[in-house]
Amino acid sequence: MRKTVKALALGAIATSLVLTAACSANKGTDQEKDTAKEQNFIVDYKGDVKGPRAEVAGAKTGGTITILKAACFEHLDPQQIYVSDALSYGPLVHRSLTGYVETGVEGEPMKLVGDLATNAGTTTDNGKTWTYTLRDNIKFEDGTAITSKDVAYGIARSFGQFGVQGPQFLQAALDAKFGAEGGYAGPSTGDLKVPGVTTPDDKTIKFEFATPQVALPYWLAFPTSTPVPAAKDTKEKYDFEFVSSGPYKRAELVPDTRIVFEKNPAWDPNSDPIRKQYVDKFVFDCTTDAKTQTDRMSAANGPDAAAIMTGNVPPDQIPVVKGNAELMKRVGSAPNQYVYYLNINTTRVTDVDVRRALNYAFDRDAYLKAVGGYDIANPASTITSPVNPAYLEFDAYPSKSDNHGDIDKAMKLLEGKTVPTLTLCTANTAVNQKVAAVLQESFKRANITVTPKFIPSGDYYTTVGRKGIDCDLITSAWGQDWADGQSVLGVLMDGAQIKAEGNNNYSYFNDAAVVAKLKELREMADRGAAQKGYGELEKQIMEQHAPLIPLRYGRTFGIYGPNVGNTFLNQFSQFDLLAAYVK
Amino acid sequence: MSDFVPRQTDSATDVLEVAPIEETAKAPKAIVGKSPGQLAWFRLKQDRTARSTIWVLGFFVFIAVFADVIEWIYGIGPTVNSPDLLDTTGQPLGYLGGIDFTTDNPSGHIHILGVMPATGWDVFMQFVYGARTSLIIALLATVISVIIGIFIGTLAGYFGGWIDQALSWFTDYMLAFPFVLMAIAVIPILNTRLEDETGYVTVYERVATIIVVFSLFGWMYTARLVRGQVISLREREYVEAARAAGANSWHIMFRQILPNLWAPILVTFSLSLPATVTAEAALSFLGIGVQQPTPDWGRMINDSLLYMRSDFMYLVIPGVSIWALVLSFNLFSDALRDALDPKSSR
Amino acid sequence: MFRFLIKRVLLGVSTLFAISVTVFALFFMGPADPAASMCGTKQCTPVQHERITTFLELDRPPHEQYASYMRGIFVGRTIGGDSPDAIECPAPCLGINFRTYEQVSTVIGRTMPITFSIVLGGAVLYVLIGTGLGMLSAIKRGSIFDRIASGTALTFASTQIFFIGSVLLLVFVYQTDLLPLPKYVPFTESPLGWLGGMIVPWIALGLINSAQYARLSRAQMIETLSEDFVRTARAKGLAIAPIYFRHALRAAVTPIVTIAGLDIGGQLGGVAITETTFSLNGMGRTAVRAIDEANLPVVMGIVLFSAMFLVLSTIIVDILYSVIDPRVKLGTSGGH
Repeated sequence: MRKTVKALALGAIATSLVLTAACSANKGTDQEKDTAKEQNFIVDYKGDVKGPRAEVAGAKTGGTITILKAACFEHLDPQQIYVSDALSYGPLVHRSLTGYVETGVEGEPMKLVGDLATNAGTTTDNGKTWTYTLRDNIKFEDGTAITSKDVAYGIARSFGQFGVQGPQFLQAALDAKFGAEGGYAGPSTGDLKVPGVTTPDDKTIKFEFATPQVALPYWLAFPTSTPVPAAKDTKEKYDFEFVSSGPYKRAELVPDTRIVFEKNPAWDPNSDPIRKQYVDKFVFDCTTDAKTQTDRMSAANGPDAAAIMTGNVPPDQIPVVKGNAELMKRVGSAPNQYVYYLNINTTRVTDVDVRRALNYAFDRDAYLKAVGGYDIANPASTITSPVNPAYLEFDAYPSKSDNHGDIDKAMKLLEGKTVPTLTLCTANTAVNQKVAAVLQESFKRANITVTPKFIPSGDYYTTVGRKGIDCDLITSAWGQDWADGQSVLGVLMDGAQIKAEGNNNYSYFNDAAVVAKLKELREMADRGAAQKGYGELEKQIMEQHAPLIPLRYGRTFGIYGPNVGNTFLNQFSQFDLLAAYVK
Repeated sequence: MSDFVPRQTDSATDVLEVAPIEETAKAPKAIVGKSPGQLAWFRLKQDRTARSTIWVLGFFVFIAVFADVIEWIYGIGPTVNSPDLLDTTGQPLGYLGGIDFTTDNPSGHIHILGVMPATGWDVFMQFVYGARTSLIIALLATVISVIIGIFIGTLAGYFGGWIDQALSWFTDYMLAFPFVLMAIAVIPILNTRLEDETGYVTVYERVATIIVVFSLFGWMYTARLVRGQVISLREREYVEAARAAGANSWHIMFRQILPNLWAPILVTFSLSLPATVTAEAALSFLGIGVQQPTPDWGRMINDSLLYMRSDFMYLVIPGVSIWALVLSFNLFSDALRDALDPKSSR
Repeated sequence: MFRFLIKRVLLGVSTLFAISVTVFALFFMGPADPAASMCGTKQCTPVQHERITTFLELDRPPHEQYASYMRGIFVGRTIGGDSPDAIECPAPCLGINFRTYEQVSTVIGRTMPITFSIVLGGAVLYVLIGTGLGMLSAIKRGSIFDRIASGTALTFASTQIFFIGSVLLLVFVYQTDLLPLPKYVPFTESPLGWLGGMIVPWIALGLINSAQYARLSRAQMIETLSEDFVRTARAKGLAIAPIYFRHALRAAVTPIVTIAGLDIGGQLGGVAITETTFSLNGMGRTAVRAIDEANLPVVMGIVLFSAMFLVLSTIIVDILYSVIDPRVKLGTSGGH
């Protein structure tokens, strides 16, 4: 017995050696740089965009598209939707007052248009009052007409308990006492009257604000404004029993497992400029992790030929996918709206030269490789993502050509200074642990000692969002809520918004000149001109104050099936399905 | 108890119930005047498997103890970033996961087992320091849980009555917790208790937490085993004699009875040690356990699964190491059991 | 027998009660803030945070929360207090999933068949293979077969499920496509699909767990074969096969039942590692996720469920023990 065991053991080792030896040498390939294109963006205030959406050339009807997901949507209750997967695929069943038209065609601008409404919004007083008129022939799945009352009811719901997980911009703007004592608390209270919202008739809905709100058309593109029939509001169960207003409706829903959407016959294509109804069924398979998604998409057998994956290809499979030229034709790879930062707590690291030195000492190459390589991350030098219209290309702290930072400049800035040990706070995940170790080594090169502090990921942002937190360096990520500089700089760099808890300004950066400039930009009615201002302000912030280190721009690298027609990575970095078809 | 905690201690119970030590001592008549311990050691030395496993285990202990010396000779630490040894996807350049016996590379060091994907850390040094972490955790956790088990088992078995009932209930209660879930829930709680004012928990404290949790949920089988043995021994003549001579309970329990139990306890110990190594690796798999930058085999396996396809060599090293360690322990405890009780298993 | 049963059940209930108190207490000692993890990462305002806290009744003292949890199990309860959006949870109410507001009993009902399929199927495989191998090894003691069987079993027993599972997936599923991808298909929907989806986890569990059964049954069998009654039977010229099965098997089965019973009982509450390795959303994986999300009701429900199976299995093992082996007297303490 003993002999055999040893022989088996040796055999196992030998076999694995042979297996490995069979692999060829990895010589590496050069990463081609892709320049992020500036995105054109149109807001259709006039109502030029009308239904139906133009036919897609070569599109066929019928078939089933399978969506491979690692977990199901957290919510499909429209007022609770705020996560990118539900924002991308929720519109298959939920319509809202406004919405985005994306075609994925190079050079064609993204449009914010009226969805249920005839246009993106009409205002006569620079944004204090907004009026929306509903389109004709819009219906719920049971055939009843959608009225402005249903839209108002949906908005009312967003104030209640079953709206807390959705976006809160609209609510806070409408009701000064929102969430506080005496604030409006949703329709379950028996009160259907949302402050500032009126429905003069079944076709019209009006919003009135105390101050101008130029971002309203963007806010209404969230399913916050999705109509809900009051009689069918099943409260917490509405997550599973929602009433559809889009081209599809729920056919099957097993939480955590499987969701099936089928065609909604009550939907009228002529009323909808955003969606098509080519596909018979959408099947969401929610138990497939990214690794398996990649394998299934690579094989694309049977129904998987008409499937898409929602995860990123994991690091070890990227070389395999890149080595397969046929497969690379089905890869969607593009920068997404997420930017990752190492915030420097300006209330603790008060010396701007130390903050600059940290920027120089950062080893960008080591970091990018640690988070999965250049295919799922791009080197970042700005606060704003390249997909945002406010993006201005600049690098305030250029690295030496090897992308490992510039230690000489860092050391020069630190001359004669003693930097105390810095605490690096990060959420406790496997990747972050590795990143923390890499950052530690990276700053050690400039004689800066960093000790990591791992915070349970569930309450990470609550913890670091408390003013006075004893972290010197704080990792964070931000994705814009709408395509406007206000949704990035206006949130992350506005010192006037710093409060006791729930902060997003993790650098706790507060500069009077910046605050004033942000206020000016926020209130500009001409959003196009405003974007330029944000870019210039950002450059100034980075050069003069260095409140953070931009770590990376997020990048998506996913595969779609050979039989899926007209899909592309949308603004939420998911494969778009609103006008997709099965080949 | 769940999928990864082998119930090996049960087989120990099983065999050792038929193996009181004094009978064993009678067996080989040729060697007169040797104590049971010497006899067992003699038999162990005769066993080829035991000899070879001792070499393997000795090797692991050696690298764990002399990790710093090895680093000094080898020239590079376990967490030195070498991104230039990686391609743009973060995979090691060169052959077999970046194995390089020359210093003619961007890091200027040899990498006899290659480098880790994503970071470019040296796998050999991770392996060396990882042995230290894994062995310290396994050894301490097992020692502590066996001591707790002996203590509770002896008390319950010796006193019987309500003490036994209470302790047995407590044992059952501890056994009914799902170990994996409890470990995941308890370790972060203990860690927050250990935070200093800046919220920082030292590496030693983190390792201590893991050891405490393993000890807390690891003593029950030993306790049951010891209890059963003590019950069978407490009515023996020599115990009666000691009692008649006026010895107190403490003396009888720990001076008279316990020395007769060292054989089954030793086997339990050698069986639960590999189980602890495995369990620690499994916790790392679920993302708790030892954190970066402390090298650890369990976490290394978990990390290597991420690079299974692109860097198979990286999977092989921690996988084979843990497997060799656990297998050696298992074989060794088999041999130990045979040595202590030649009647069993053959 | 009846008195014994009553006593065991009462002890079991007291254990469960103690466990529920412990888990509750642990939860409140910890840093976890369920409201925070629910509140979303980007824009959790203090106002929102407070609203969630109040709604989930997390602002009440722990003992009150515990009392209302226990009351919920027997008479049901309303979650959300005075909020107009309060949720009705009829008995037996194990609380609601903090994130989705789904009832915990529904969550358990959905995940339980997955765990049961993995555990029971795996157990059948490793008990049968392990015992079979062990017995054959005993009969052919010392032969090449004996050595190979014991060696292989021990080699696999020294690996971990997540390691061997991942390698199995890589080699047999992803690269060669010889085995189907692990996936749960309800047996009622498609018996074949159910079998196919479970086969890889079963093989992995079988490889790792067979060894201890092989070892045990081999030792038992050797001992039994050397006992007088077997030798007598042999001497009387009885055919070999019936002897093995009538006498030896019977003696060997007792310890195997004990261990298998406890193994299965322990695993029915969720095999977190196995489920995570194969991406199956059983009770174990669900509980691990719930711990991450500080989702106490789900954790609590699954831990209690899992403890219940363990307690039940020890009782059943005790009873089986007395049926299989009449020498065992019920009622003696520590019968298992």
